[in-house]
Amino acid sequence: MPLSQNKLLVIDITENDLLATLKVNEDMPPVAMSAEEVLGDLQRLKICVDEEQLTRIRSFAKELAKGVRPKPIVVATGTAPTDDQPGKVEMLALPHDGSKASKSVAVDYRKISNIPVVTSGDEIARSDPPIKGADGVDIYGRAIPHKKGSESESESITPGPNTHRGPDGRIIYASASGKLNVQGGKVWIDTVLKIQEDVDFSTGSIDFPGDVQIGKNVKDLFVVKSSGSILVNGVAQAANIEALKELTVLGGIAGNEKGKFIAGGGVTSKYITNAVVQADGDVNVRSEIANSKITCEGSLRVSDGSLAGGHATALCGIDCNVLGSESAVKTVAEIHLPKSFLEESVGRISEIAKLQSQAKKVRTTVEPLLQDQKKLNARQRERATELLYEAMENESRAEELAHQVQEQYDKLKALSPEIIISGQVYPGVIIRFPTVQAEIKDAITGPVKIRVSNAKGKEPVVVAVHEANDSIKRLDTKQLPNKALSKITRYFSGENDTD
Amino acid sequence: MKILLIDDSRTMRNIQKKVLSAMDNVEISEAADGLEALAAVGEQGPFDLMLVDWNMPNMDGFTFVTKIRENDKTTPMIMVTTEAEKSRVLEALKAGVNNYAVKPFTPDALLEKIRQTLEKAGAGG
Repeated sequence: MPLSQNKLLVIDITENDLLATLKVNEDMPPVAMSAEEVLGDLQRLKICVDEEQLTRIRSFAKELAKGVRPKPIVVATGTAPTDDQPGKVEMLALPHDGSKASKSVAVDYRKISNIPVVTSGDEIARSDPPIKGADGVDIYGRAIPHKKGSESESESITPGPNTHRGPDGRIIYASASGKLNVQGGKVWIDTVLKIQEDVDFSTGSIDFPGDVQIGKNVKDLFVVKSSGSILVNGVAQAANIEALKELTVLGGIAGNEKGKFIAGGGVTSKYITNAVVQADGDVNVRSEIANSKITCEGSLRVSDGSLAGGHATALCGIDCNVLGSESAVKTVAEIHLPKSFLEESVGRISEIAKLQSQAKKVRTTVEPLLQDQKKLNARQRERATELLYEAMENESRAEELAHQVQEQYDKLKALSPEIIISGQVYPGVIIRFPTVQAEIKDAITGPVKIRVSNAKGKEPVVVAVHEANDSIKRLDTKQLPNKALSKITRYFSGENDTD
Repeated sequence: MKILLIDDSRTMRNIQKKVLSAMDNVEISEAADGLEALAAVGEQGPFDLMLVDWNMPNMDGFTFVTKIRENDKTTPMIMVTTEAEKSRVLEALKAGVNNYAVKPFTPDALLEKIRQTLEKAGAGG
């Protein structure tokens, strides 16, 4: 747009009226013009000029006076309006989105969990409050109104159970570990994970910091881990399930030779087939254990059913209706000692021997010297006191260890675990205790208790005690070498240990 | 009961502490020589019993006992030392110790001396 009447100057104004640029008409040679003349032209167009721009116009006019074509200059600027910003909520702990997994690499979708899990103390969500906007001003000094927001546009979030707001009021934190839920502007955490359906591709594998309840089945090759207890209402297939506390499978465990089931407490199931089960507590099964490897640090009970095939070992005893099967399938029923007992006791017994030997050596060296103390100088007297004290300390520590070994031994002895069969024991069954084992050659009809008989001066034997008539049948017993246990037995029989 | 152990050997003080652990309600303070022991008496005293070694740097046990007895005639003190000569024992008793235990001693023997001393002093044990 031409600015001056002589058409020498041209002014460009942006469409939003926020910037005005002054330049010399390219088709005309530069002609002298005063700053006041330029300013007058601008005022005629009602363009507002500030001090800084005035200085620039003066330099522009000076160059014109010299006959030089000045570079274009900004003669007026406005301010754009800032619109109101609605309040925003950002979820900081979002569920893992399996669909984002790269398609170019192999992905095991079983390992991808679709359950959002948070840990106590995690930041869950941040809410930013609405920001008020401001009007702008154009180059003519006119107000440009800003866009106003409504309250309904603002997002907000309320902390529900097991969550709390931080001190600044903006961040919401998890007060407990568990499943994160967001619904209707509210966030909360469930400390018990309840899955109505199967654990399969729809849920992914699960690693949950609390109790887990599964409405139906756990499918092949899926993993369920819990730092609490796990309840499966359906069947656990060839899955991997680990509970820090109890594991209960109402439908039964069908491991298909791949399933592994571990519990820090007990395991309860309708049946167990072709699975590996480890329980720090009792294992209670209603109908059947078949072809499985069971390790139980409590009592193993299949009270109304059979234990056939595989290897079942328990610390506190085995109780079942039928042991083995008519087809003479190899079945090992074992009573074991806790591994920690053997390791700790052997370690303690070695330490006792060492301490006693050290104390004995000191006493045999120092005590004769004390018979004639006058021959000892001051330093020797001090040293003798120290050595005698050391000997006493070693003896006292040895006594303490001996007490610990005895206590643990007595506790285990009091258990006197047995294998109790109320119905039938079939040939093919191997009964194993820590130092002996017996293979069942002929069927035994129960109710019968199988245990170890330790007659004084004789080797231990496996016997079957019939409850009905109290008759005792000696089973063909094989001695099992157990170095650790022999060492412990020798210690209690007072024999010297040369190890 | 507050007991002060004065011996330049930390091992010996530890042995004495272990021996004293057989007694109930014992609060133990330690000093590595006579000077430290005098400071401990000033700052933490009075004590119900003091076990004093004879041969120590800076100030020996005999000097310590003599200094203590200038103002305090009653606190029971046992000299626990390698000095086994009869003349030394008499010297220490004359300076004011209540009992005398010669190293090497067995823990039981020392405990017995402590009990005897406390009984005589009327503090029990």
